[in-house]
Amino acid sequence: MTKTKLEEKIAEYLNGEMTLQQKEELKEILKQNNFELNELTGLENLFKQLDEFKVPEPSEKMDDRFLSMLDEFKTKEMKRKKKKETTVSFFSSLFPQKYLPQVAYSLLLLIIGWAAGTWILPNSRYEAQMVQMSSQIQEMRQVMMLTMLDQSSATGRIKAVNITNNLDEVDDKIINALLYTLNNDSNENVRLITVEALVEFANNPRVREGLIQSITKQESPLVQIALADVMLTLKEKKAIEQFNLLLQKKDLNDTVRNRLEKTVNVLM
Amino acid sequence: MDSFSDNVLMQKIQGGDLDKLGLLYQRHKKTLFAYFYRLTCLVETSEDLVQNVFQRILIYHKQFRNEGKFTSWMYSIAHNVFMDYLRKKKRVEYSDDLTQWDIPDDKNLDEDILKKEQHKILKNSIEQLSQEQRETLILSRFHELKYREIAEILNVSEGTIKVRIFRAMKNLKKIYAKMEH
Repeated sequence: MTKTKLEEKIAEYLNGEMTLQQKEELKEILKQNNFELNELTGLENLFKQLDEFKVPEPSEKMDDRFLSMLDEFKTKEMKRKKKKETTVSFFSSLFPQKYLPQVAYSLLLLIIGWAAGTWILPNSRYEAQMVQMSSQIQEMRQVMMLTMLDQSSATGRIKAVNITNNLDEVDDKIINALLYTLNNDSNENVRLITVEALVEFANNPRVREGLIQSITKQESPLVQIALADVMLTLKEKKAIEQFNLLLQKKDLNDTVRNRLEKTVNVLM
Repeated sequence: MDSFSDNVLMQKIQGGDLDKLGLLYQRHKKTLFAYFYRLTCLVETSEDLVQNVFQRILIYHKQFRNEGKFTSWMYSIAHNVFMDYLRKKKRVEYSDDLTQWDIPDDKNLDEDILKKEQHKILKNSIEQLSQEQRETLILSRFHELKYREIAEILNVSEGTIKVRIFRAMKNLKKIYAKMEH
């Protein structure tokens, strides 16, 4: 047996990793290798004596420090998760996964337009480029608004409606989408914000007509009052007929009834 | 598997239930403290090092593989914490304050003095060992770990650990005998 192997065996012996029979066998081998058995006993005794190396108890301060460390870690972890969730939900509400291709396409169009305007077209046509770029931005905003209106979250739909604040002109597609939202969206806040958005385009006859026709379609008192206020601002006499139809409803909210009666009187 | 075994608790921590670390701390704080105390003989330092171990467990809990034994993983972290401490400190300052030693009460004063003296010699003898031999001996003798587990913790072969133990004991015996006389 090599010296190293013998040393390994003695270590096993000391750590109690040997059966009685293995211990006896080791002693035999040690004898054959001129290893003093007294030496083994000495090591064994010292190994046992190590038990006397006692340690004091840790202080209570250690527990307190552990608990503060754990609390601190938990708080940090919570903040980190919250921040992550907020960022993810913000971006996913802006650009939901399924609309990513459309958004990417719109951005691509914008970049191509910008690149064309900057490098391809000569400087003398600068103004024309600006107009073109502006119209491309408008186009992109419209596409984004229409795609975002399909979102399942009310917050997302509100953001979509708010995009119209940045549009100078709207085409029929946008008007139809806004009117559809005003008459059909399940969320009262979305409908209210849509009323405000549509008022910005009240010069457009289709928008005016759509707002008037929407009066009898609304069941929310808040939206009904909002439309009454809009009609007063626009001094839209054509709305009287719709308000009268609404006033015929027996279950109409009392506050709404009062407001509509006043509105009708002013408009007349 | 026991629903409160170390590994199950670690699984819960990995699942987000960080409070379960408190149970692991209660279970292992004394043995970890003893490990560091035997290496440094400094109470406050040992408490700091225990704190560092649990902090690392929190930070790296996702890296724990549940096939392994938690204590092996914990001691490998403890070993790394100690090595970092050594690197910073260069040389461990051993405390000579015998009041920190837990000596059993003994009415016989002479015997008490003798025991204290033996403790001091033993402590000083262990201090004379190389850091490698000292740590291996401590893990084996005081933490009931098998050589295979120590090898895993210190990232060396089982044979190396056995040889290191034998040589540590031989050195210790020589140093102890020299100091006693």
